[in-house]
Amino acid sequence: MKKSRKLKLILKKPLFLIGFLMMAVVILAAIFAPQIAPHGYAEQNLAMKLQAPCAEFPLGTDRYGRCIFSRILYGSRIALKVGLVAVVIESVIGVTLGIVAGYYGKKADRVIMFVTDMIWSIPPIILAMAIVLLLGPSAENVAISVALVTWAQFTKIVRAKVQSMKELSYIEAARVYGESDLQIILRYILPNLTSTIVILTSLALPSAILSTTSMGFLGLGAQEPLPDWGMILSSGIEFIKKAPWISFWPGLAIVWTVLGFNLAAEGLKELLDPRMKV
Amino acid sequence: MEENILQVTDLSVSFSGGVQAVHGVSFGIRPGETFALVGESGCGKSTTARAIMRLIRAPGRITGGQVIFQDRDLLGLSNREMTRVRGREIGMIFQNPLDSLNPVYTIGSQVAEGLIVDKMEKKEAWKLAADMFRDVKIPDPEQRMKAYPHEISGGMRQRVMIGMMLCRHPKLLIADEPTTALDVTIQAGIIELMNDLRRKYNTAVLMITHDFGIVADMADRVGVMYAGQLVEVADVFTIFDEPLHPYTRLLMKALPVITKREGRLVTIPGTVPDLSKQMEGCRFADRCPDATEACRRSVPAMKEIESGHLCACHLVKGGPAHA
Repeated sequence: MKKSRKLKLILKKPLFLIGFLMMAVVILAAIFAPQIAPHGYAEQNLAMKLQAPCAEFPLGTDRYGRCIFSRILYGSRIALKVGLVAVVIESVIGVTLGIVAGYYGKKADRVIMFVTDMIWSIPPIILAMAIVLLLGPSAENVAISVALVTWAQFTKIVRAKVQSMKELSYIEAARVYGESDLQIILRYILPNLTSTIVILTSLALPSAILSTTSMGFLGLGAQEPLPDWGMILSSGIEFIKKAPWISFWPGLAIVWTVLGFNLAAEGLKELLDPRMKV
Repeated sequence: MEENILQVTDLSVSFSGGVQAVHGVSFGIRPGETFALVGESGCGKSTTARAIMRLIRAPGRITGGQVIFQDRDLLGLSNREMTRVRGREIGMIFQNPLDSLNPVYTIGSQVAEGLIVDKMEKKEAWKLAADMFRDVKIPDPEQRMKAYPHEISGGMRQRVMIGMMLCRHPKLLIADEPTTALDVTIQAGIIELMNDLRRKYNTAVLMITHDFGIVADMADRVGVMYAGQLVEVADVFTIFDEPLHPYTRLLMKALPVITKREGRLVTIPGTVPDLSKQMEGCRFADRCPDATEACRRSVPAMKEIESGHLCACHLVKGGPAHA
């Protein structure tokens, strides 16, 4: 397919376009947070606490009089950074194990699949909580824990792909051509997995962001005064009647981000591999 | 007689469930010679070829025998040593050229790849690859080398495969039905090309085929396989003119002759026996028109009837038993 035709395909499905635009807004907000934000994220103004949205504080203030709008802007940096780090770690673990299991089979496959199924069977948030409690609450540890509970989905899909790829004659031809296992994996398997990995990663990112904010909501993520979306949301619950904006806006930010990234990922999937069902 | 470059002795391959896909197959190939293994589908000819390259995958297993290639038993080599033999000393081309090439690299870089693995300078490898493209008669090689596999036709891809396998000058090329998936007109071109190149590089060829036309065009000697066993080996003229084994004789009768207009095509009644069952006598006995009690009771040994003409049949008299 030509590039221009792919572009037309995207434009034909407005949902994807909307997704890409929503994603772009979040990314721009994260990059330009210091320029856009009217206040610092930790700047307190006790005289102005629990203010409703007004000209100075577009989205209102929290109980310390901090600007919600500024906090949400800076919070997008945490959400994206933690989500990205988590996805990078989980894809490296998941893809590596998936290739090893699928390519070598036999004992390696059985051991890896056993561990994968075990991880798969534990509710992810509970396992992630346990890991964070073990390591101590912080944004970095949330990234690690989210990665450790989600790599299994990469392993399962990559393994299945590699197993079917192994039957293709160009892999066989490579072996006949005297390529070693490592060369076959690096030159034949991995490049042909690219679209699968890109799609899986793009789908894993919004769910990692969601897990990150859930952990923040539970108080296990980035600590005060860092503006974690989940934490801002949970801090507003006490004031939900008096000052609903404290919880509403970070909630909307989470929905916006996850929805935007998901729609964009769907579009990417359509572009790279229309037949793939994940 | 010159020493064989490849000597297969008593090779056996089984699959799970006790299926004996290849049973006690022995043959030799001399340097520069083309040896054709012929037989119907499922007779074990491809399995034999894959066993030589040690490409039998589980649940299949090589259960016995020797594959001596240049004074080494390939079956005894470590995986690492075998990797070095593949491609460098023995090349192989496959039945299906359509997906034998890696879709993510250009065809030129795939041909050059093997040379680079052999520690050749990148530029030089590319130049040699271009020469090889010229050898396999691909027009405008410098341009074509930049194409991806999906941009060229099936026949062209098979030419690329042949070039890729020959550019490292292996002593032996195994061709597993290289033209089966191609158009008849393209087949002729590929056969001609292989004939030219094997003479040019003095490569021995193990040709796996069910097509006697290809045998006639290419082979020096022929081995006929039936149900996992080699039943007759002879030079190509003898196979066509004086076949001895009843199976070979029936195969020859079954060849359609275009100049004969009368009647129906001749077939061999019955089907290949179930290889998972234990067989006492000759595996062809059930379909053989001349089978006797002895045929059903004991397995016929390979005997050298005349010099260079081996046959495994109780009904064919003469000659000492062949080791």
